[in-house]
Amino acid sequence: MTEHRLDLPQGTLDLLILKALSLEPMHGWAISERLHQVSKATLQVPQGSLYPALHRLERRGWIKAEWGTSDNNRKAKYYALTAAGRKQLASDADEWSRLTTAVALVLRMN
Amino acid sequence: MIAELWADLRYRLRALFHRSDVERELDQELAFHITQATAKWVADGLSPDEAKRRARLEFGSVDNTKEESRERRGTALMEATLADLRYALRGLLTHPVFTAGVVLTLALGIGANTAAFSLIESVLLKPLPYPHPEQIVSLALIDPRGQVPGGGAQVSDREFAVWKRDSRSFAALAGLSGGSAVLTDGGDVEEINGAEVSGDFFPVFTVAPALGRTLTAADTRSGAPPVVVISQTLWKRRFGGDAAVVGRTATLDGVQREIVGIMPPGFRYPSEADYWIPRSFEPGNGTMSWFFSAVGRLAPGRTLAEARTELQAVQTRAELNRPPRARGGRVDMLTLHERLFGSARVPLLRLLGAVGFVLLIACTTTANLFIARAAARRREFAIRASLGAGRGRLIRQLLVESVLLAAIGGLLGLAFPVWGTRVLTAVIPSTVDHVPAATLDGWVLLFAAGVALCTGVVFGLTPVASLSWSNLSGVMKASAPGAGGNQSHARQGLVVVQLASAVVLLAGAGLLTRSLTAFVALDPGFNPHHVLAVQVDLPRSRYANEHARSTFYDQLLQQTRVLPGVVAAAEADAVPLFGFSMLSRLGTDGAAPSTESNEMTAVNRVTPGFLAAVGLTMKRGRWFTDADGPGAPRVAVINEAFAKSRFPGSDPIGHRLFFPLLPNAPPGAVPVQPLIVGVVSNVRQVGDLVEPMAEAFFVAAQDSSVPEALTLRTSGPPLELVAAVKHTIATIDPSVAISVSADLSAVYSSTYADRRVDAFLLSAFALVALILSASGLYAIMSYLVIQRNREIGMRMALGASSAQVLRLVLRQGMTSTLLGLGLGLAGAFLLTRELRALLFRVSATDPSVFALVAVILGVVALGACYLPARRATHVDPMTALRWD
Repeated sequence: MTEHRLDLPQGTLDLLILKALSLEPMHGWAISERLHQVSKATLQVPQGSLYPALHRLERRGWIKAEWGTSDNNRKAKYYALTAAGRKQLASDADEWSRLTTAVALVLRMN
Repeated sequence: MIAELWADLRYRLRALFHRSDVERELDQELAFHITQATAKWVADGLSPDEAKRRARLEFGSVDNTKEESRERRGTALMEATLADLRYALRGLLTHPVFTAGVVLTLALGIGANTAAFSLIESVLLKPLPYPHPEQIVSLALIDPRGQVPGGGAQVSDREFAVWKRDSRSFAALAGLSGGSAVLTDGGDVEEINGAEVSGDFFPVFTVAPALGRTLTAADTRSGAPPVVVISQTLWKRRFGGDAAVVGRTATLDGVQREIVGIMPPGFRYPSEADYWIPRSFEPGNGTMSWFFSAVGRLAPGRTLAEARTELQAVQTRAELNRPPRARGGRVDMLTLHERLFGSARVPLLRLLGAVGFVLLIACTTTANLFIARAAARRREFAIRASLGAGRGRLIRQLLVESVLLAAIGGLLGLAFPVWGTRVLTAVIPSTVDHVPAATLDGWVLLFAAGVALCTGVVFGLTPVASLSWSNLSGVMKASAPGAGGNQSHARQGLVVVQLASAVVLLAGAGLLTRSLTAFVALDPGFNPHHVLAVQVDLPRSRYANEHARSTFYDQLLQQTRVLPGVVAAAEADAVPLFGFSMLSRLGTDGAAPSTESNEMTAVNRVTPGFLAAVGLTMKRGRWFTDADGPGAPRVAVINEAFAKSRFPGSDPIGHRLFFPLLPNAPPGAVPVQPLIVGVVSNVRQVGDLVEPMAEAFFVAAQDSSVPEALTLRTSGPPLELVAAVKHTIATIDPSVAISVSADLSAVYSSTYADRRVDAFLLSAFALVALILSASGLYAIMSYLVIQRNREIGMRMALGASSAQVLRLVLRQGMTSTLLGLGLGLAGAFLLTRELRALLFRVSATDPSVFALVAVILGVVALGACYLPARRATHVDPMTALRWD
C-alpha cells in the first residue's frame, strides 16, 4: 500500500457506481474490484463506503437490487441500473466532463 | 418524478416495516464482500487468517458501514418517531386515569366539532344533485307592501307570464306548485306529496328519467291526456319496480293518469315529491293560479347578478302600465340551494361557534393536565437531557404524546357524528323543509383529522412553552421549591381563558333561556290543549261543485260532534297556528276600504261551535249562536287587534263592517255589511308570528261558504280520536283521506321548538364549560397550595391566623376568576349580538342575565378555590418546613 492513490472527490462515487453498473449487473464486491482494476488501482475507493452509497442509490430508484448466485455459487446481492439510473448517469457524466474540462482550462491559465 | 417518489416511499416503507429483513440482508451482503475479499488474498498466497485480516482492514469498520447504510435508507426520522410513539404509548398506559380523562375530553371536543361540521357539509356545502346546480335559481316577487306572513317565495301568473315572455336570462323557466294527492290504486288509499309543474320544469333540472319520458309543454295544454311522472321511491314501493308500469294508469285525486315516466333515485324536488303532473301556469286559461313557486336555469354564461338585474328591469317595465300602488315589485332571485338551505346557515355557523368554544375548553383543560404532568416529569426530562437528548428531541416527544392522545380522542370522537348530528340537526330552523342526512364522508374524516392534529399540537406545545429548559439540570440536584413558577403562570392563563369561555357560553345560554321563557309565557289567545285539528282531501273530480262539498262537510261535522270524547266541534276557514286562508281589506260603517290606510284583515268563516272548540275568550258582546242562520241578519265578531286599530277608544259593538264587491260581482249586487256583535281575544294565527293580525269572524252559513278545517275539543288525548274520525270519514265516503290531523298543543309547542333546542344546546355547552373551568380552577389552586406549602407553613409558624391564610389563597384564585369574568363579559358583550335574531323580548346585553352569569361564575369559582384554601389552613407548620 505504498503506491500513491487518489481519494475520491465528494459525490463522484455515485457516478462511478452508476457507470460500472451500466455495463452489467454486479454485486458490491465486483463493483469494488472493477473500479479498482479499471482505474489501474489509482482510485482509492474505501470498500466500506461503497454500501451506504449503494443503498442510497437504491432508495432513489436509480439502481435496483436482486438476490442472485455468484460465480462461486454463493448467494449475492446484485445491483442493476434502472431506466431512471441510466438517465441520471448520462446527465452526471456530462456534468462531470464539463466540470473537468473547465477545471483543466483554468489550470492551464498562465 | 412521481415514479421516483413512489419508489422512494416503497423503499422507505420496506426499510421501516421489514426492518429485520433489511438488516439481515445487509449482514449477508457485507459478509459476502468480506468472504470474496478473503478469497482473493488467499489466492494471492496469504494464509487464511492473514487474508481475513487484510480483507477486514481494507473494508474498514463494518459497524460504521452498517450505521451509515441505515442512515442512507432515509428512515432515521421515522424510526425515531416510532420509538417516540412506543415510548409515549407506554407512558400513557401507565397513567390510565390521566389518559382516559384527556381522551374523553378531547373526544367530546373533537366529536362535537366533527358532528357540527358533517351537518354543515351536508346542508351548506354539498351541491344539489343536479347537473350545474349553481345555474338553478328560485324566483319570487316581493310586492311593495312586503310579503304576506308565512307566504314563502312565490310569484303570480301575471308576473310569471311577463318574465317568461321578456326575459333573456334563462335557458328554462318553470312554475311549480307543491301539494299532495290521494293515490287510490292497488287497494290502499294513500296520500302522497308531489307537484304540479309546467313544461319547462324538467329542463330546468336537466335530469333524465330512469324510464319513459318527462313532461313537456304539450302535456300542459288543455285537452291533453292526463299524465303523471313518478319518483323512483314510489315506483319501487307501490309498483314493485316493474318496468311495465310505464304506460299504465294511476288514479290521483280521482283522475286516471297515464304513468309516462319514472325519475332516477334522488330526484324528489320539491321536498319529498313522489309525483309530478303537468299544469300550465299561463294566466287566463280558466284555472286561477295566483301564488306558486318558480325555478329557472340560467342561460349559459349568465351570472346570477346579471339575471337578477335583467329580470328586475323586465318587471319594472311591465309595471309601467299598472296603477301606481301596484308598482314597486322587487324580484327576489336566489340560487335554489340558497332558497332551500339559506336559513340554516346562520344557526349552523352559530352552532359551529358554540362547539368551537367547547373545543377551546377541551384544549385548555388538556393543556392544563399536560402542564401538570410535565411538571411531574421534570426529573424524567432532565435525565433524558443529561443523556444527550436535545431540546428538539424532547419537544418531539411531547408532541408525539399529545398528537397520539388527540388522535385517539379524535377516533373516539368520530362516534359522535353518527348520533350527534341527529341531535344537532334540531338547530336547523323548521323553514328548511327537508334536511339531507349528514354522512361520514372523506371531508368529514379529513376535518376530524385536521382538528385532532391542530388540537394535539396546540395543547402539546403549551407545556413546552412553560418548561424552562435552562434549569433542567438544576432539577437533577433538587426539586427546588421555587421551580415551576412559569408553569403556574401558564396554567393560570389557561384557567382565565376557560373561565372567559364559560362566561360567553353562559351569557348566550342565559339570553336564549330568557327568550324562551318569555315566548312560552305569551298567551296564544286560545286554549291549545285537548284540541284536534283535522283536514281532509276531497277528490276534486267528485267534489267539483260547492253543494257536494257542503254536504260532505255538514255530515262530517254532525257525525264527529257526537263521537264519544268530543266536547265541542266546529269547522272554520282557518285554525289558529295554521295560518290564514284568506286576507281581505274591510271597510267600516258604510265606507269602502281604502287600500292605502286599511290594513289586511284575516277573514275566518266559522260554524258557531268555533269559540268552544278552540277556546277563545270573549272580551265584549256575544259570540254566534245557531240563531244566526242563513235567514237572520248578518253578524260578525272581531278580534282585539281589529278593534284597537279601527275603533280606538270606542266600543266597536253596534258598528258595521263593509265587504267591498268583488270585481266579478253580478250587476245590482249590494256590498255586505255585517253587524259587529262581539270582540274576542287575539289568537296566534301563524306559528311563530307573535304580533297578531286583525281578524274578523263570520258565520259560514250566512256567507254560504264551506269552511274546510275541522276542529274538535276533546276530553282525552286528542290523537286518540283520530281513529274514530277516520272511521266516520270512511262511512261518509271511503275514497276520502285525512291530510292533516294534529294535536294543537303539539303544534303550539313546535312553534318554539327551535328556541327550546337552541336554548338547551347552548345551556348544555355552557354547563360543560362551567364544570371544566371550575375543575381547572380547583386543580390549579390545589397545586398552588401544595407548592406554597412551605411558605404557608412559615407564615403560620410566624403567627398568621387561619383566616389570613384562607384570604391569601382565595385572593390568588379570585384574581384569575375576576380576570376570566372580565374577559368573558367583554367577549359576551361582543358576541351575544350574533344571537340577536334569536332573542325575544330581551336585549342582547340584558344586564340581569349578565349579572346572573357573573354571580353563578363567582360562586362556582369561590367553591373551587375554597376547598384548596381550607386545606392550606390545615397545614402543619412543622411538616411544611420539613417538606422536601
